[in-house]
Amino acid sequence: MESLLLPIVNGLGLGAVLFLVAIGLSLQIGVMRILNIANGAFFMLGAYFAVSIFGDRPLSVPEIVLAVLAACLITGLCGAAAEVSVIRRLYDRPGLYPFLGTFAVLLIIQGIVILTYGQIGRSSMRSSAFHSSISVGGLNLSAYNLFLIAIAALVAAGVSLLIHRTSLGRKVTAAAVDRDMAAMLGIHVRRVYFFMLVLSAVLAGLAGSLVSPLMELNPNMAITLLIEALAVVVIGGSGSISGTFVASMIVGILQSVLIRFAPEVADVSVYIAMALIMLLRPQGLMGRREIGVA
Amino acid sequence: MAETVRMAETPAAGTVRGPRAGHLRSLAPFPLIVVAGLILPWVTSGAGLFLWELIVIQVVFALGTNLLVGHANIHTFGQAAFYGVGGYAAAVLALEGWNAWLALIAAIVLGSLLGGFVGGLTMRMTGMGTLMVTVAVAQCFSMLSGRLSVFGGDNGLSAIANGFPSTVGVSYWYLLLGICLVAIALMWVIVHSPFGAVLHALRDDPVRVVHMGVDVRRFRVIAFTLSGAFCGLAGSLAAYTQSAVSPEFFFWVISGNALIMCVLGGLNSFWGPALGAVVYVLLSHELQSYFPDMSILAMGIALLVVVLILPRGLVEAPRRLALILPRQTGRKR
Repeated sequence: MESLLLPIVNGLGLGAVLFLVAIGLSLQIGVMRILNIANGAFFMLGAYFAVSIFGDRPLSVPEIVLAVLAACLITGLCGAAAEVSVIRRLYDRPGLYPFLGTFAVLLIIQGIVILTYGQIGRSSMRSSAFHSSISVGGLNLSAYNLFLIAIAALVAAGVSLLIHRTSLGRKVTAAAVDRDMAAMLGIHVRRVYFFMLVLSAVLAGLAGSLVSPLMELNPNMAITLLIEALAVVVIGGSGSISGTFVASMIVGILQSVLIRFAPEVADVSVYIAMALIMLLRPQGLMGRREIGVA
Repeated sequence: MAETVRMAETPAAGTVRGPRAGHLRSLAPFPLIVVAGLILPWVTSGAGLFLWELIVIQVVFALGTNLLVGHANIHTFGQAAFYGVGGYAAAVLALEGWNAWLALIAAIVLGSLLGGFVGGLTMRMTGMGTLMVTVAVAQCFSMLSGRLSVFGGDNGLSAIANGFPSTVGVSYWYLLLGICLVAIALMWVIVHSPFGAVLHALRDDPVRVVHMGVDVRRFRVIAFTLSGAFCGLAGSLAAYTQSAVSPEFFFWVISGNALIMCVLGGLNSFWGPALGAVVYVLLSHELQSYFPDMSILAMGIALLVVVLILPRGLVEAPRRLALILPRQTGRKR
């Protein structure tokens, strides 16, 4: 039992990071009908910003909080800049063009990161706080993983409240259900879209800055995590907050447990799970409609 | 879906022709390519010829991708799966001592089988769902190929004796050119056949096609199968030409390249992706050799410019220029 509990907690930590990236993708698919793969670039930016704010020295806890908040803020600004300059022009485009436009944004951000930080990997945030553990019933669990899980749960609850309980959320829902009718009723659909994109960018940046102590940073991290997040969205059902949350946690646990017991199939298991879900339940675990119906 | 109608291919103003006349006119670049390919060895050799070998392979890859993206408006971000399967099939079988042509055919068959599988998996999906699934399939293969020892792990396989009678130099170029020309001609026939017409109809007005009683799912699966065959061929030729395969054959970069080549040249024309492939490979080759760190940034900017300013690609550029230029001279007067 003990040997199973530890990977499960680690998996939930990984799932938390996945969730923060996947929720942005899922919301943008549900509301804006756009597959914004630039979200992966915001994830990467968050990680690089968090690491470069205080340099390479070991950090204290307040400094980490400050670095993470600053990274989220700057990533949000980058998201706003990308929306205003490029992505805004893509919503009305037919066919593959919106996707290609966000792909171009991803490549440009990746190119800038390569020019600034170089192709090779970069060491991440260092602090003794990341290694502290909490003892629960005789088990030493990583405090940082528990913290990640708490953050993800908070974000899930927050986004859910925002969408279902506030007037802004009602506008978002209206814009998602019928854009033209919402616009006719006086809702600034463009503004709603802008807000959703910046929110997604901030959450992806949060994921990046939080994950930076756990992995080596490199310019390829943008898309490798993004592809996993896409699988999560397919499993959870696009547009569903709870579905995305459950799917992220399942995928995290699956990977972490398999790394322990069958490392050969660990990372492929996500895609096998995705294929199974598609065959058995094409709309995803908690999705209401067929994926991608525009 | 009404938006896709706007992108439908419309004949240039004042040139309403019968379908056959239009078809034959679009064959015009073919003899030009044949002639250019035949005299190329007199113009360049060695590394230059090798670069052009890679270019004709990418032309086949781009045309195979465009069957889905441009002609049928089926979105895909996982063409690397077919490319890589073709490459690895040819490499493994050639190392096992198979006849080169047999290995090539096996690569095509495996590519088309995988295409059919992906087509079946995404049968009920449109747009974004297909994008997500195709990219996941390719990613899956890239992970597996890096791990399995049959495929040489992360280093891939090298020193593939391609077994063709002529392995290097001018005669290999002619062999490769011949194979690619046959593939291009086949693709032309497919696109201009009744099957291609159905794909165009699916792209231009999917709802109406469904209501006419066409089994859309079947056509999607067939389109994926054919695309897989062409991309598998491109991958196997790339494996032979470079004499090596690696998990990079499956990387998202390859899938991204396929899309960029298509949209750069022009999604809605037959020859656009071919032009796009030539321009893209030349451009990225130059960038790689002079500014290796800049290449991704430059590709991103190029893609952005095409998407925002020139959505119909480079084949539209002359017409766009012709529209803009007289207006400016008129203003000067």
